[in-house]
Amino acid sequence: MAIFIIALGAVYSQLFKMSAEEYLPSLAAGYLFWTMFATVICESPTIFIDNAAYIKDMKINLLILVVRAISRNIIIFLHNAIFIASVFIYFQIWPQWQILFLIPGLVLVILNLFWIMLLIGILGARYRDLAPIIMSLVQVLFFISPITWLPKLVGENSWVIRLNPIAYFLDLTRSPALNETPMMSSWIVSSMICALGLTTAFFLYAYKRERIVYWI
Amino acid sequence: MASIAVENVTLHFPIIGVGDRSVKNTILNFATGGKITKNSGTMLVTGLQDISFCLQNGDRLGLIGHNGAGKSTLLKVLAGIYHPTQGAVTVQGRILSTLNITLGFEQEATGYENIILKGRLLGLNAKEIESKVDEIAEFTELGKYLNLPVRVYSSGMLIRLAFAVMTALESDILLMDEVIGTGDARFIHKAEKRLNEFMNKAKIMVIASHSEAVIKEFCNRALLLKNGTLFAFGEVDEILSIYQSDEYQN
Repeated sequence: MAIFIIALGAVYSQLFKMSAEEYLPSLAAGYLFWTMFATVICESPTIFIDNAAYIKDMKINLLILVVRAISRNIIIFLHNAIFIASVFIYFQIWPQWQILFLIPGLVLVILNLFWIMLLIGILGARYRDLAPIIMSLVQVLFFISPITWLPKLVGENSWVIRLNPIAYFLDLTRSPALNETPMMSSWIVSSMICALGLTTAFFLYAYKRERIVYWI
Repeated sequence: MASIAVENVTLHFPIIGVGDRSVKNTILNFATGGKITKNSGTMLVTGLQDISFCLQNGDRLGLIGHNGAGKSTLLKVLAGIYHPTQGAVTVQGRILSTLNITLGFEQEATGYENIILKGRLLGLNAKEIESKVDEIAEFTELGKYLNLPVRVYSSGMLIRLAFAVMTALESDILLMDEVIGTGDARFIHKAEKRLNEFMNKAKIMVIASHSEAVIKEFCNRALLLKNGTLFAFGEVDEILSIYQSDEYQN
């Protein structure tokens, strides 16, 4: 992660004609959060298949497996955060009050990751080619989301940002880390996606959970 | 008070065809009305057919039958892993199933950590495990090996550890797929004693086994399965003689 951020930061800050001071912290923080989103989403289609031994041999609540995978990724995230903190210290960026937004922001994003994992997990157990499809989708998402480039490069209110849910998730988490206040629209859109996604995932779960054991 | 009531349980396994496991094909089918790819469809296989019986405190049930007769499937239905397609299973009491005793071991964690992990997985809280951990450690005779990651254990040591944790638990209802056992000649004697105590603690026990000796030794009732149907249910000797008869074997 460190090598990736330093190398990309050095080259892309030249490419975008920005100072490293402006570009690197944003890239570092963006990449940190993105890594967590991407790993969770990539693990989703096979979450129940990978835990087949548990599901087939003991009575276990499937949600525990999802919570376990997400908890593991949060721990890895905290581990990676140490390096990002060193980038911030190098550029003398000290946390201000906006950092407090990070807590509700992360909670909302993790809730979103929860339903994504549950939903894709159930579908992935049934349809085995979902894993490679999700994998390439995540790769595309990395390039079309404002991680290696800054949102302001596409101008305000561009559809490129507006239609990408990942951009909202990033705004809720990266902005407070960079001492910026997340946009109101990020809160509203992320909450709406969360409510809709959780409902869909839970309905599918309630309807199909007894079947999953036969699929894996 | 523990009890199990199984009423008219029928279980179908859905076997999903290979071509039906693909998102791409499903979308393609939907768009073209099935002209491009052929749907291999979902087949239903009957695992259990119309099974009913009741068990009360003190019952020791042996499940017998050929391979594929439905013994393990029935155990999994009792354990709550499979949900019956029709009928109902009513269970009162805490169930413990020993279908896969090494399930949940973390290769990189030490023996002690795995005792705790396994205990938590089986539904104990931190305090309950704390009170059992010394007794488990002592029984395994693994000594200082318990401080090493379990990936360096031999398979015998691993099973010994799993066996010790499993048999330290208390349950109302015990489900076993073949009797668990372990160890070298000396250890097996010790294990047998512990296993007997473990089984005696349970109010109801269900064992699936191919061994008539096991059924005779541990069970007071037997249930004979054939192709997923209940062939006979009753006293052990009576059922074992039916098992041997031509009527069942053909």
